[in-house]
Amino acid sequence: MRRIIYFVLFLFLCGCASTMQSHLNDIQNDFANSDFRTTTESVASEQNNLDLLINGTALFLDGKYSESDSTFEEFNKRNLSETSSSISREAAGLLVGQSVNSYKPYMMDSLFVSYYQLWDLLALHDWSNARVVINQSYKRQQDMSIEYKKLIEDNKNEIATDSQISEFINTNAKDWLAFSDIMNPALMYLSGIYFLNDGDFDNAITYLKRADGMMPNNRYIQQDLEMAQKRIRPTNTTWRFIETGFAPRLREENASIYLFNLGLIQFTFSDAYLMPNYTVPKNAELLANVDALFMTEYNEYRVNEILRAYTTAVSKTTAQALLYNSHSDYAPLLGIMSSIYTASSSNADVRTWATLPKYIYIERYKNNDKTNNLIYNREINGKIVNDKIIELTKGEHK
Amino acid sequence: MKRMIPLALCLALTACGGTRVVDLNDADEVNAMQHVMELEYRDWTNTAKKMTESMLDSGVLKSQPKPVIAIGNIVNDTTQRIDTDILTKKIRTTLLKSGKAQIATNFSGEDTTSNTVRNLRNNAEYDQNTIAQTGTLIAPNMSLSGKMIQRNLKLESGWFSSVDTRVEYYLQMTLTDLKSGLSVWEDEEPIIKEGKDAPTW
Repeated sequence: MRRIIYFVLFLFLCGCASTMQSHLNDIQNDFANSDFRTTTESVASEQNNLDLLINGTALFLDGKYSESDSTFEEFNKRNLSETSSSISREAAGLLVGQSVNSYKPYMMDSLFVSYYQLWDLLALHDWSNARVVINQSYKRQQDMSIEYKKLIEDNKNEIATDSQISEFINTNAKDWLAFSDIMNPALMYLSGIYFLNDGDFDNAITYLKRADGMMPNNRYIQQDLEMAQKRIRPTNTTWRFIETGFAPRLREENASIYLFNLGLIQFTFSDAYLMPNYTVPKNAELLANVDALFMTEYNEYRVNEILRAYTTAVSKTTAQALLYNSHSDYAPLLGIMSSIYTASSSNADVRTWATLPKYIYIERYKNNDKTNNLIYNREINGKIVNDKIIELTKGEHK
Repeated sequence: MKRMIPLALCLALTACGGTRVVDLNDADEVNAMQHVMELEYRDWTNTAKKMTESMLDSGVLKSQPKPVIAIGNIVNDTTQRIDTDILTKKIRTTLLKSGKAQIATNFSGEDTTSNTVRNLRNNAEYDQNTIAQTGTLIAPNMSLSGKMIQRNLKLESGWFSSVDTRVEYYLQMTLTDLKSGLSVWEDEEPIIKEGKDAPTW
């Protein structure tokens, strides 16, 4: 009987993770086919955090800039203290399983919200609110930088307290080309271009210097920074942003550690994998490595998640053992229920903002349009699924 | 004791919930409004009042025989989406009521009807005597521009303190003589608030 219950439960749990995987696969397919409306229809009724993020991108790519901006704004209002998500991300999920929780956004997600909102507002020629979004994102990055350093420090201290889990984490550690801080160079560069075109050279220098600091080999950022320092507004210039491929996804992994007094402790955690298929555009230079941005942050959450999953597994196994050994008439039944609870509440969260790109490239060239333009391209599987030109002129939109 | 419990409950419930419309003509009621970290009604009203008084008292409007002011760009350099008309509308209303200046609405594209009317010249459907003649629009000779700045500062905060942030707002305005391109009046109104969490959205 117990085996049957476990088997059914196993199938149910596989279903949880695989249902989410399949849902995100469907959305990526819709994006690859430029079918953004299907995505909007599939997530609009849910409106949880992840749905808002995916819907915001779908609406942006569908040219519905105002709705996209409102969707992201709704996300912002619901996640005012997203920087303190590191611990709360994990804590609630331990009781009922990670995937049952509302999606807790990564810090990086919030920066991409600002990035797409900035695109939305530039497309609407809403120059005034675009500046507000830049100010908001600057504050966000400052807060996140502090929070991220705190998270790294907390993780170091926690790992040091348990030699077995410390060994497990070190053995499973992954080497990634990661940044040392939470920042988004594409957002910084787009903000720099905004100020450069506005003739606000001091602010342009601030943002372009930050972008240059993160991507020191990008010649286009250097050219713009040089112009800002010389206080020259560019003319007849086009900046083409090309987003390609998809950002890393997560899958569920199981692990076990043998403890002398409790036996085998099993726990589940998420593991990232990189998405293949992307294009390197000609004449373009890398502006943002989203794989690295994601992994920079995910690596720390992963340590955090493993630590907490392990601790919870130990306490749940201890509780189970106590029930079995309680000599009560109901001990076997309570034991089975406890095992079911343990198994059902130990699934990992595999949700991510799956429509983010893998890389963002930038191309900068002179045009004959007598104006400065921004071009946004989204490329998936070698096909441009979205192509929009935004004239960089101040609008009267309010 | 038993009687005290329902009384206390009643008082507690009376204090909760419900919508309240603030009577803006009642100074006490306005002063009793809850304070927030964002810019709100009292900030806009006080700033507009002080700015207008400062401009009128400076005597700068007397330097022009017929001051016509165009409302220029008000840069919102805060983290809040604010329609800057909230501030400028109050200033221009007071200026107009004072009779010491006029506001150009056609120049900044705020009013498009005066152009639409002019497009009806030679349209047989309209009595041409009712269409504005050429050379009747009046160009502004002054422009009002400004900037709103926000700075968030973290404060030392104890365990039981509900204050951890100071938000400093600076509302700056400039009146420019369009003939000379020189600033003829400037003022700044700082608004400082301390409380919990700086407004971001």
